[in-house]
Amino acid sequence: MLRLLTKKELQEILRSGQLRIAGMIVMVLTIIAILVSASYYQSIQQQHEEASHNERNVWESQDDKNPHSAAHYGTYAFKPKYPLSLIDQGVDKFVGISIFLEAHKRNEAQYMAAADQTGLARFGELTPDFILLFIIPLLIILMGHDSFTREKETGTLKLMKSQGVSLRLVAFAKWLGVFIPITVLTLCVFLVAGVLLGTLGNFGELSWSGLLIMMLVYVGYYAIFTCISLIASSLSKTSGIALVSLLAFWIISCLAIPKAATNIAELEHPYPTKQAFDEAIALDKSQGLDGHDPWSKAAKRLEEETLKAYKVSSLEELPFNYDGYRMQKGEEHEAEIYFKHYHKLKDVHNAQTGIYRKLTSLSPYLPVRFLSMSLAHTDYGTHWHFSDAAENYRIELQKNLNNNFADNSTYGNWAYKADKSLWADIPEFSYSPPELQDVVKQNSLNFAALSGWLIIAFAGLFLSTKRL
Amino acid sequence: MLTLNIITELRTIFRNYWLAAITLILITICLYAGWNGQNHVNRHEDSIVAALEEMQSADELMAARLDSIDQGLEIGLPTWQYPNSPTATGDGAPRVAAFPPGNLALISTGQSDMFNHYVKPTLTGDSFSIGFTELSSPVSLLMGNFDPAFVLVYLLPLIIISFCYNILSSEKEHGSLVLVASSPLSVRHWLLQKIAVRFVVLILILTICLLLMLMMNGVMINTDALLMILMVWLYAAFWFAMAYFINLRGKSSARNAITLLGLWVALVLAIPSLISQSASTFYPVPSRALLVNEMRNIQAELDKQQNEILDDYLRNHPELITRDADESTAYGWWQRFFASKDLVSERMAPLLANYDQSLKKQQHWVNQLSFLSPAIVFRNSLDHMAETSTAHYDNYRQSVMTFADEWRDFFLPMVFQDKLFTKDMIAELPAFDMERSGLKSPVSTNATILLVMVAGLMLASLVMNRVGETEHLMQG
Repeated sequence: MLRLLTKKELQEILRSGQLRIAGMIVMVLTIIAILVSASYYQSIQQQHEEASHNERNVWESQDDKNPHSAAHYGTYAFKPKYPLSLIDQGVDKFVGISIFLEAHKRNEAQYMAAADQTGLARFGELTPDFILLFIIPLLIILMGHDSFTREKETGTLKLMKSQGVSLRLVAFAKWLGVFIPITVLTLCVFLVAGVLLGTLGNFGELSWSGLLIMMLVYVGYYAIFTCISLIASSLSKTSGIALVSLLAFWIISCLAIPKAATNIAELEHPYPTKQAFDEAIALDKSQGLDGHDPWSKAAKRLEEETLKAYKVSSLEELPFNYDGYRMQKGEEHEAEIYFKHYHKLKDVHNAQTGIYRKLTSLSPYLPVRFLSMSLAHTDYGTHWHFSDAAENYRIELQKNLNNNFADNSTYGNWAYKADKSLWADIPEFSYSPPELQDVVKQNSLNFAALSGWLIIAFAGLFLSTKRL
Repeated sequence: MLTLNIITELRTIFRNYWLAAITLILITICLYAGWNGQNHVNRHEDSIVAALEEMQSADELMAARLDSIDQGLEIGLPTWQYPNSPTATGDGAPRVAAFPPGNLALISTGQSDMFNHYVKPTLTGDSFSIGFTELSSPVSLLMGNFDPAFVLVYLLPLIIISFCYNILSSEKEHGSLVLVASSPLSVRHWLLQKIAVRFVVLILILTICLLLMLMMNGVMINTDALLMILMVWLYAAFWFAMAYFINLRGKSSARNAITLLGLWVALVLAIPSLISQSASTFYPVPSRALLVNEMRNIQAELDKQQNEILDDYLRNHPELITRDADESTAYGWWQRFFASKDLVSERMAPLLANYDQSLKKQQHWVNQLSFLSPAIVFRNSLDHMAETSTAHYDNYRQSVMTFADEWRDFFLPMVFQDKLFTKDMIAELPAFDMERSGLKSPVSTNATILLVMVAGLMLASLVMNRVGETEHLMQG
């Protein structure tokens, strides 16, 4: 019976000219989005590799020079792209692509792509995630809004009731009638993306399990929308009312709540302005040890402590160049200040994330958005992870250079020049994003929210068909 | 007949729960969005006020220190930070180059959450490397804001659609269209009058909501504010005209709802994102990653040249060049420092110009295609009136660059002529003034485009099935 009913529903949907056109439009848009994204990411990845390679060359081709001069000269860390970013671009265009790693200073990632685009880009772009998150739910609404209202309008619902057909079975068949074509479409999208990612040379290693989990997340999202469409259809008197109320649900959950969440998060836990953030760091730095200022109180204290620790009476008697030692101590002190301030910033970010998480109970879009970005390594968490890795590399780099200066020269000898082989000896910056199991673990609350939505949606469908 | 029709329609509207629901929804979302917009504006305003106050206190402290130096007193600073040194003051006492929010800033967040609202250009900093992007959460930037622009661009058309999608079809479905058809008034005119009445009622409610929102947030009701309301009327008129056109096709309520919502998705979501995507695909901005390489290469090249004339230590530790040191060497160093900076700027200029050019081409492409979607045209006008558009921030960036040169030009003669900075010069320090003459308002062009769209739809409605219209509408 279920098979028969499902077959009938599927036939009706596939025969509907409107749905065929809508489905075709979505397919064409998806193909365009995937192809455009693939070409974009391929060129970005190529540029990233080229830039990283060139930067390393620039670093290694420095002449003999004082290691601290090389520290000021610095180097760049470029943020790599990962295969699944083809499907979900996440926050990538709103974060910088490279971080300048120099002495005494932790820099923010520079050059966000959105700053090089027109204001229209804020409307959104035709990317696979835009279609998966916004357009396919609309297609589901279009397919499912009149599932029951059509039967009510034509009087077939009464006929079915009089024949003693189980309405739950009918509802399940209708659910399958909408869900099966959508799942096939989703499978196609992910299959095309998977094949494309497998064939594109410089896209990095594709995690098939990551791709599968991401697909399941979207399939779950569509199951929720299918249930909600059927619930609205079963509760509405006419197809028009069902459609308008479903669209209201779509706009509230996919657009209004995420935007309102941003405003609540910004109001409750505002980010400091860039200037205020920099000034707070500068203030802290001015009150502590500055490697370049041997006359400050902190520098004098360090001098006394060092002389005492090494039981010598003058800096010249120390077994290392005190200038390099002071530079390193200053660097460590500054790194602590940056750690403190960035930690505070991270707290703000976590508090804001908490607001979004609380609101996942009001919108199925939110947990899916965050899960999808995390799996694609295009979320803010991955950016923090990259930024922290770059900072750790910077601290190590400074340590290497300052120690070389301290160990190989004498106090006051600023003319010391390290051999250029030192630059090549320093390991290159490399970055690996969080492992899949860590991503899954970090997103347990989002998975829970998505599961909660699934349970509520199915329970709602179960109860609403009872009222038919 | 006209009066009777209008009275009947007004009665229908006022007796229907839709009016109360729409009024309540509009008031709630407008006031909430306005409150959000104002909170955002307040944060910007507060940060600028705090920066200006801090600058004022810093100036007072600098004046006191300069007095102390004149009197030969100790000021507790290392000599390279003495404010009488032009290089120390040029770097240590920068002016706040602020972009204060405009009168209507609350209506559209635009690009204001992405860019910062004040910077402090310094003497030794490169003007091309001034960071203009704000320290914002990228998640917030991705999700966007619940501001009045969101309400007006996205939600208002949906409210209009839900208000008008079934005017004719519901009459047909209830069987009352036969009565209308039997009256001397044509169905087309009857529908136009009904739509017009609904338009006036909604516009009235919306205008009251907007005025209330503006006044509650202390916005001055000036010509710009009235112009903004006029643009809202035009945008609403487009959606009413669209609803009229779709209703005239005589299809069922469900069919009308699907068509109108499909048009909403196409015009508000799909077309803007397609145009935006095509702009970045056809006019891609050169790689910023490779720009970093170019910058480094230029730096490396100049570094090698500098090595011939400058000592490594002095170059990386300018703070150690004190008045106690050999002044001719110290000032010679600064001169070469600025000369090499000029060279870097000169070499970077054509590379950076490529970015501006690409962005301009993208904007031109977007402007050329904006007639495809009333949402683009309307949003563009709102951003412009709110002074949060890309053009405004580009203009601000250019003004800051000009000011950075002005700031440098003020101090450079002192550096080159070995002169000291004095207390009297504080009053003469260049002040930042935002140049706005380059900003061309797109509002009148956009208003014309919207008017043409409305007229086009009305004309299409007029032409559509003129012959045998009643039969057509009755049959659907």
